[in-house]
Amino acid sequence: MSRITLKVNGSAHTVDVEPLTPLLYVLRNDLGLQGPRFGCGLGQCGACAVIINGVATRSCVTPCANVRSEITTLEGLASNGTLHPVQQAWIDEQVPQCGFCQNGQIITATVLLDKNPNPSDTQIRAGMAGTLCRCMTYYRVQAAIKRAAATIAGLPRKSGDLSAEAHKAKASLSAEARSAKAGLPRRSAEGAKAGVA
Amino acid sequence: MKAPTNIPRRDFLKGSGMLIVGISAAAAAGPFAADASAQAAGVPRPGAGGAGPYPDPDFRQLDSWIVVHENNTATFYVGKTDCGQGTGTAFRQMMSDELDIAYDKTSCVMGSTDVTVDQGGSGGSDAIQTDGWPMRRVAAEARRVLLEMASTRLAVPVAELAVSDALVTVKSDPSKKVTYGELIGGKRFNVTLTGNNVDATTGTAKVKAVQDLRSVGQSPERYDIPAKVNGSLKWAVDVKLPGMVHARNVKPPVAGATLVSIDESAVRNLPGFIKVVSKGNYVAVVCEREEQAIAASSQLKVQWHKPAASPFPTSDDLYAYMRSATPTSKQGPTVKGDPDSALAGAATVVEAEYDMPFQGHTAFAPAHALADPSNGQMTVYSNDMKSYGMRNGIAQFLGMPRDQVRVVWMEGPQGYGRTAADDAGFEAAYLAREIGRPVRVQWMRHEETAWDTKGPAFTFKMRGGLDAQGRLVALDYNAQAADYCHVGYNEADTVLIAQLMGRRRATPAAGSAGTPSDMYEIPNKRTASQVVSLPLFWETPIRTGNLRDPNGPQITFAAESFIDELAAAAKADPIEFRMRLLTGAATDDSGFKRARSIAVVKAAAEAYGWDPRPSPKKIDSGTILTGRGIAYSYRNQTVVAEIADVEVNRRTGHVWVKRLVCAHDCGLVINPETLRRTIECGMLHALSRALHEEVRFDGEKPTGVDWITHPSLRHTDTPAAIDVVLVNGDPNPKRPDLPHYGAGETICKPLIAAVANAIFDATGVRLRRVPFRDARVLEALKAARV
Repeated sequence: MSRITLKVNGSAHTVDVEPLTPLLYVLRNDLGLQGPRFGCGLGQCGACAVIINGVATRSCVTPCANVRSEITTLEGLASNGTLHPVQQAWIDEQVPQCGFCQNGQIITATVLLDKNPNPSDTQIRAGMAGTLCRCMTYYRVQAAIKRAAATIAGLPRKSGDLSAEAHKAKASLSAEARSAKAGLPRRSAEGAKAGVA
Repeated sequence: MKAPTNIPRRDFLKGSGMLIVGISAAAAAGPFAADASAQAAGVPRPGAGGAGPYPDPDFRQLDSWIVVHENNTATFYVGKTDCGQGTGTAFRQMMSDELDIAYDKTSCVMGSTDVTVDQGGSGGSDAIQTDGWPMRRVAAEARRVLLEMASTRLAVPVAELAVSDALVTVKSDPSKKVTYGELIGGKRFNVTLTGNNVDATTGTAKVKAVQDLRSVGQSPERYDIPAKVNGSLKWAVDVKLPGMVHARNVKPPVAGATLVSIDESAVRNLPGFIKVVSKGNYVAVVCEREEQAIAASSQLKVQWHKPAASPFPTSDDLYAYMRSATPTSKQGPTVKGDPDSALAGAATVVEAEYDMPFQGHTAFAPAHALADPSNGQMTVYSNDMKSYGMRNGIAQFLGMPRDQVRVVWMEGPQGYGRTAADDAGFEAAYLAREIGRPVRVQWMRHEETAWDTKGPAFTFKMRGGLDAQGRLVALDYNAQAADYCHVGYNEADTVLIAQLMGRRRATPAAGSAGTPSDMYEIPNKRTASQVVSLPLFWETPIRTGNLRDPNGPQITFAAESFIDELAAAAKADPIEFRMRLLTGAATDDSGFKRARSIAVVKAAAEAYGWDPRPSPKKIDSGTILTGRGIAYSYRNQTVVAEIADVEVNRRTGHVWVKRLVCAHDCGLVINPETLRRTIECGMLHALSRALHEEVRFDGEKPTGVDWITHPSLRHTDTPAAIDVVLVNGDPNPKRPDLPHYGAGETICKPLIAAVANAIFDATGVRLRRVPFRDARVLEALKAARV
């Protein structure tokens, strides 16, 4: 066993594990995180994705001793209690079915938009191709990525990344959006009782 | 009714879309009992009897269903589970409408055997259609009782009271008012309900008319989504208990292998090693940490003896094997008219055979569960969609009294039938008893993909006869399913661990094949089906179970492909041909169903912009060939018509479904936006089955073990557009409001045929075997010189 220090979502943690232990198990079982999950253990599906050095990294095949940089997990995307624009788009678009894969979808989309804030449909499909969903939420995932891109485009931003300022601007935007949405339930455009809705 | 009795005050916490209710210990089961152990584990659920035992909540007690809190909110307790379609949100909408409380002042607890009444968990897409009714009735009864209490409190007759958003007012003097919370918050109703079974549960109150429902028909956002997006949801995979350990299975390397010996020397000195547990052909390794269990299970040296006979043919030989096998059971034939004479006298006879492979669930994450043997009880934390069945099965498997076993349902990767035959819960419980500590089991990817339950493979033989005018005068349908020894109900003598331990029932389940569920009017018709068995049907990874509308996608692929073949032979537009079959003279009582079918097919055609012409179209000259196809199905009162637009690459054989249209009628829609997403995803799930999915195997084991060797739909396959039309299609204007039927599985039925029909329209080539992978399509195009 070795003592290994990991910086995760802004905090440092020291754990005593075998150095080759996949990062996933340390995040889940030693640090109690629930965003990254086991899907295949082979780096094929994306369930375990975390962000390291701006890269969506498959933590199930990443030995924890190899990780020197800060790790951001799904739990670390929000800033000062405000969801990341990608997460907010996921709620606005009502993307998940069971939701089990959505960590991978959200993490991969976040990195995709960080690198390419205005992706084409083809770029979205290619960029997300390695991230699987067995409920088949792909259509809404792609819609949510476009929605998030539009939100991010409307924010003051530094080149290439989602800065703290951008998050702050998003906070006020979200507050507006929330007040507009006050009085849930949101009424749907079509009535269920109409002949053809 | 009896007067409410005081119970200990509850602490009411609400956060992250989840609810935690803690109360001091009470004897009864159900919402009013306490659960210290679950609270200690940080499991966000209201609890039942702490250390146990765990008697069944009584469905004839109103208090088992609804708790009104002092802060004028309410919690609904239902015996269902949500496999990801947002049914929990729908239950809240239905029950809050009947109770007359705002949707956002409610919450919903589902599927834990000691807390919620046994409504069977999930299955059959019947949550809204069947189980929604007792939910509505008990909520209406609670409203009635509360109005009676308000009448006493305000000293006016019930008829002079109005109620809205959990506030009761005197109609003539709205300043006189009382809230539900003031009337009963923190107290029991103590109202006994009636009904011979849980589905029939009722009080004396009547449910509301459709026009009086407020939340139903709107689209509140699903309450479970924020916690799934921000990482705060505690899933079944996330439960941690003090002292818990981790286990991994060691599966036989080939089907039917028997254990010879285990050599522990390679793992005995590994860090964290606790024990190898084995009985019969079941082997597992238990370690302190998860990664240790994974390493130990792969390093353990186990000697197996291969069976003398091959357990099954190869997947390439499967259909020939099935066609020559002696059936284990037969259904039918069901005969209408004189199909043989009609076929003999037909102007044109069309014959075709179709094949559907075994298809796996291949859930996004493998089977998993945590079992806690504390206090001589057994608590299993599981995503089992039929948690009640799992509880009964585990009690039987372990020889424990039912009331000492409970299953705490928590969310997990999609259900679709796999978790109705959930092996991990049984394994965790067995191991927990062996080890005496909480044991968490999770299968590895290769185990799940190889050994999960499979949707049965089918072969079909169809004959149809057209008269000189191109009218369908006779249909002969024959289906054969490899479905003998079908498992799928958490039985103690069919789950995999039981099989491997040599414990199995004397008479395997017969399985089923089935017939099409359309509403076509065909004067002469014969339908018959048979079940066949693979050589090995116990202890085999090719074991069938329920997979999302168990036989529907297979049957509808063949049936709706064949209707398309007949339409082409008649040189008729595929929709017009179907319309003639739906509008034909009714000789049975299906007029209403036929009228709804017509409305749905028309709605799909209109949404698509369908211009009538026969298929195939004139073949394009370029590399990309385009075409369109329709298919329709009727299942348990729900009607679906789907149209696919395809692009077929004639050089590579690659098929891209670029647009999908679905017209869908499930009666009264509870939450249109949530339904739309369920439809989109259900179609894409069926698209994955159409284009990619097939359980491949050599003569002794599955050869697909991960996402490379067993491919699934990906982002790159996603259609550019999906259009969904929600039809509430009672064509009788005097009866505008249908009841709420089920949505989910019907969506999966027609899609594969719609894609096959579109490929035919584009290329003139008929694909009669699923899946339509590039190589198979290219081969068919080349054979037809397209």
